[in-house]
Amino acid sequence: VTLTLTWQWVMAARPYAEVRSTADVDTDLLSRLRRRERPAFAELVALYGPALTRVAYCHLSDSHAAEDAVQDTFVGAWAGAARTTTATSLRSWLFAILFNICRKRIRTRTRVRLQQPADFVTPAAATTDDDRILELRAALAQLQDDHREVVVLRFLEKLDVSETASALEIPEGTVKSRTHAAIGHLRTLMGEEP
Amino acid sequence: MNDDEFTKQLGSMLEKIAQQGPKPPSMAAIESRLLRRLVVRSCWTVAAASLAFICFSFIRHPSEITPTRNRTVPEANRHSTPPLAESEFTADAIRDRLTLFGVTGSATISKNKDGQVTFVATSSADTNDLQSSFEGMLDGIACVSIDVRGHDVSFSFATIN
Repeated sequence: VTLTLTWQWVMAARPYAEVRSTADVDTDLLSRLRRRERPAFAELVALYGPALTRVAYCHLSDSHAAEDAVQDTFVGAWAGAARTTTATSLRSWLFAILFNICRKRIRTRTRVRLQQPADFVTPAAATTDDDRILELRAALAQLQDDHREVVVLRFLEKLDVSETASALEIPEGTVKSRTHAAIGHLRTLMGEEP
Repeated sequence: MNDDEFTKQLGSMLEKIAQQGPKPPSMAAIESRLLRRLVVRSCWTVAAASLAFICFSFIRHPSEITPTRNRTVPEANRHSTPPLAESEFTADAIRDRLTLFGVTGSATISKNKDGQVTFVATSSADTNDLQSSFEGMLDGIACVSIDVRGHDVSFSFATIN
């Protein structure tokens, strides 16, 4: 019984330990970035490159624009690391930089908009998973930019409300209301009954 | 389908969309972008510094545009120049004399239809001093006016005839 309880306690404590270690890694990485350590920058790129690329691609729906945005994010992070504090959440800070860059890109003359796929299928015809994905891409293209930001962070990167609020530099209440509105709009656009 | 089921499905579909996207950037690509940015910034800095240098070189120091009345004619020159005779009242002669009084630069002399002679030069000496010196020096050729504009001093003389 003791062994079982101990095992259960260890297993229950594991996620907490993992979270702690991730936070510690981030804090350590950020402090090394502040000291302008080159290896820390390489670690940052390796650690957050995939997540930032995923988010940028889902938000901009353009491979080249997403690559550019992510590279600019890292350049901005290297340049701005000295301005961070110990309280800064590395992940939220990186997403904040990324979304500022994406917003600038969207505002520019060569407006980057989500492209509706050529083989877009109507909700009635969407039967397979691939069709549903095409349908979702088309629906995302029609979402407001700020709603799409929330959707991507909350449901792709699984950020909680406070992290999303920190990344988008908006109040938590706004994250909740935008999430609710975005889901409703997506369901309507995808032919789901809300 | 309720909202929870929809959001779960949404997460997996977003994941599939993300898989169709580009690969994460390489360190080399980011470093080359950092380098490019550094070069561009350096170019801008050099350009801004050059522009500032050019602009400042056109702006005169206040001491250079101060009216010349606070400056004096060298004492030694004041008494050592003999008056000019009427026949000596030429551009070259006046230019030579003005040089002694601290007036430099190219001097021009012109005569209008009323016979009034105007002399324009660049002065670094006290104009009042110059006026009285000239009046004495020219011996009868009265200086009608002296107009000071920055470094340019315009002397107008009435001729004897």
